[in-house]
Amino acid sequence: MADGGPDDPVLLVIIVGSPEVLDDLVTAMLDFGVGGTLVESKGLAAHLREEMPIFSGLASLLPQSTGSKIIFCVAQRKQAQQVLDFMEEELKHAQRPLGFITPLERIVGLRT
Amino acid sequence: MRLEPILKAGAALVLADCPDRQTLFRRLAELLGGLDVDVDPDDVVAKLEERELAYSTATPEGVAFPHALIPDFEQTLVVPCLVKTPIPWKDGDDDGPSQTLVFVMIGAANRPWEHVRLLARLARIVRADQALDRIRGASSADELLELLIAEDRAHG
Repeated sequence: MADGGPDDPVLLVIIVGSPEVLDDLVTAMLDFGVGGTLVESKGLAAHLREEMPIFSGLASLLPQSTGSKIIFCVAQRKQAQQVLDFMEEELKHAQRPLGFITPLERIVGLRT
Repeated sequence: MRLEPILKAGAALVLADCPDRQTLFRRLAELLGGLDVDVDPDDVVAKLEERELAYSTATPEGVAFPHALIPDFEQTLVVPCLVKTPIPWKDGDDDGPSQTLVFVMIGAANRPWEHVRLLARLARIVRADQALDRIRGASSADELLELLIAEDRAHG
């Protein structure tokens, strides 16, 4: 984990594979004052299954997830940590999204 | 966003019954009239009713979140109202879900994002496991505020 103050801006990225946790996650993010951008996405397994016929015979072996969403947020480090703490403490392991924080060197165009 | 600093002593209602939404809003106006808040109770009620007519804030869980954004109002206020007998919430023939717990939110028109955060906090509080049963067990306005503060603290 890079050093940095609690108010420093960071990029928080969350990949949500279980749609049933999305409402709780977004509600918590709003509660913490974290906005962001949500992008519809899909995992590589879904892409192989749907778009690359050569792999279709292996489809039954691949995860059956229908899609995912990626949330990008620029937030203060302390806010981003709150979101990850929420995911760790309040979402079930099997449904827990993948989340990570990375420091930002320079930001342009951020609206608060 | 913490709910506790926004709750105000005396700003809560617990009623045995209430015939409809409009009566509840009138009771709310009476309550606001007796509190030290810089807002016209009739203006608040008009804005709450306007919002409900545009789009109901009732939920299938029986928790409604009517809200009014008031120009030049500098405070944010939440008035929780618990009605022991479910209130028919919608008008006319529209038999939407009845409501027993109503969080009236009053805030500044120039800070809508703060309103969104507050609504998110309330949503987290009422969606916590068994929270609604605990909150609906309140028998007085003071107890309702105490229970909500306890629920709020549970969310850090």
